[in-house]
Amino acid sequence: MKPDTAQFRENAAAAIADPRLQSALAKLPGGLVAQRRAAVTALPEFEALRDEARAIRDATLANLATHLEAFEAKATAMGSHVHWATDADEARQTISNICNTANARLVIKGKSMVTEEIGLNAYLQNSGIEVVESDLGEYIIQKRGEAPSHIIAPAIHLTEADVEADFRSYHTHLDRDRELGTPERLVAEARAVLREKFLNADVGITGANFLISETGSSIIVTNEGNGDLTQILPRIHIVVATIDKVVPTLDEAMTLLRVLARSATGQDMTAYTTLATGPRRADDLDGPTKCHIVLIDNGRTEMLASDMREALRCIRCGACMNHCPVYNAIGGHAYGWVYPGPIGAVLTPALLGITETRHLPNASTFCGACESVCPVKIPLVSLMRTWRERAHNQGPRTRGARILAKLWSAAATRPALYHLLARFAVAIAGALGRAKGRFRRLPIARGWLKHRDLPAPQGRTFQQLWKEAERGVPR
Amino acid sequence: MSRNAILARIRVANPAPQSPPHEAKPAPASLASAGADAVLRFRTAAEAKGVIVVDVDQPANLPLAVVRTLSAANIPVDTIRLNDPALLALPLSDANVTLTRGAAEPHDRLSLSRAVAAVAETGSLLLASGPDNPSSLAFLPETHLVTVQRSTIIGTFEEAFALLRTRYGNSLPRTINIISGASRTGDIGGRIVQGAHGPRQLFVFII
Repeated sequence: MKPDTAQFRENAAAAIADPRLQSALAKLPGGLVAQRRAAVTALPEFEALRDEARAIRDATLANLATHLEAFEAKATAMGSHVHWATDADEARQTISNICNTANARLVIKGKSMVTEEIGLNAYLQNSGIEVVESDLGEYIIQKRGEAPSHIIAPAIHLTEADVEADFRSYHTHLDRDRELGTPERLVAEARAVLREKFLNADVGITGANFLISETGSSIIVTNEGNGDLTQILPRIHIVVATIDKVVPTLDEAMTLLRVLARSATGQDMTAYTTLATGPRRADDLDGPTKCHIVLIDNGRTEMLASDMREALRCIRCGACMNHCPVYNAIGGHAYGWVYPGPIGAVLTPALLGITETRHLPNASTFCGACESVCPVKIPLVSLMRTWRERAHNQGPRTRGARILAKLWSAAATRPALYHLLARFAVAIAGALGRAKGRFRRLPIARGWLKHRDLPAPQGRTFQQLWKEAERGVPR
Repeated sequence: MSRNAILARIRVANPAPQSPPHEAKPAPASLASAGADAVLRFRTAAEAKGVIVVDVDQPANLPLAVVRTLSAANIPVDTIRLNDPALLALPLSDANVTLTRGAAEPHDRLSLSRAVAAVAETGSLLLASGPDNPSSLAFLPETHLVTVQRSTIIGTFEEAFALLRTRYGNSLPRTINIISGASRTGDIGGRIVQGAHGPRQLFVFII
């Protein structure tokens, strides 16, 4: 999809003013956040597992080439075809070639963020192939022509009523007067519509939560079972994954799965965790006859070589966005591309460049909630701060902002001048606010003061009070 | 060639002496269990996920247990799809149940698989694909029945993977399914609904 990240400020303002979006977002704290808390509380070793998960990701990234070669060798030995793609374009062409060679007319897909990132659906559709998303949330947003607004709950911005209206307008082959007013009925309708697609698809495309070097397998986790039907029924299975998904052993993958499910949905285990290894065996009665694995770089090696390396530890659980006050206020679409929330504010500039994405690292109060729940302890706040610095140094900025920044830096780097100015400002503010003890409005903070008052300072700075206390001056 | 270019870029990004390989730690102590304790934990965890768990004292009594359990759940028992020789050998047809062999077909309502093992830690079943237990059995029908040998209920996934290594060496079957409850979705309004794409209900028979 075409990035819309430059319009972040306008998008965020519109999102806050959208009552339907706000009512959908209001379910987050009582939903995924509360569920995660319960799951984490139930496992005393959870904190230790976070450290272990981080260590596994760091150790794997430190030897990434070796682990990828090992994975390739094992997957090939198990009968998979392994392809490599440096960027989105090469990945799309590789996948498209596989589909065309197989004369594919219909492709069914499991949920995959990297295929969103490389814009795979539009590319395949342009070459005349029908592409159907099978994860229910992805199916809903695909029909709407939208990007996912959350990495694990792509339709979280929609209410039940929105989905009902959509299904009535898409599924025109069904009785117009049918009852659809419950989630159960909506799910049953989608199940029936998509079951036909599963049975007729030529190619199934899934992502991978992990790739296991030890066994040459891909691992996917789903609750719906859609990923499984995608990789069992069609005659060709294509796994699409970025190079950072590799994990050396099943045991290490298990540690990651333990923190992944709990951090994402508060489950101790997702309903279906599936290892797929190569194509169907000679005596198998089902399964694909060919299995392809497309390993994509698309900016990951640059991240590995940069100070954004730690973001590659991400296992895409979505906890950082669930706990982010900014994401909770504006939802995922305002971020303007595929990855929203704090991880999006770090990842998107790394993948698209900071120029078009300069507002994203500002989408944070730096409260640190994201870091405190991240299962692999990515220092999201400091990485966002790094992007802020880079955006600042790169410009373009307004003349006013440049002058203010210069003035601030001149004062902040000269303590004597800074203290003098602070004394001056606090004395004036103290005198002005003495009568009421607070300010109801100030010319430079109108928006901030709309919902709260600013307490007036007492007239002397902290430094002054400290010095007086040291001299024994009674207050 | 993209492969070599990517690997070369990774090696440039990782110039430092390679760190020693990471050593996997054992499963967290609070998740471990064995023997009767593991069976109890498995049952509790599976039931918490909405799975119906039934004890069967010997294989010969499985047909009766299946019929009783499904009747109690108001699920008609007419035809069951399965392909496992050990299960086909049981007197299921004596219980007025038609057995159809093979992989699952689109309109199958009931299927029966045999699990390799079950994991107490999360109440999960471990199924391995193959001619006896095609993995479509676990996803196409509306109701999935699974048998598991009581002695194969183990504590943690690390033990389950050790078992896979022993049984399959370094060549896994096409699909290993770790199943923890019936198919579900929370994608509409955040409320959990069972039976998204796979089975609406999952029954486990511990033999």
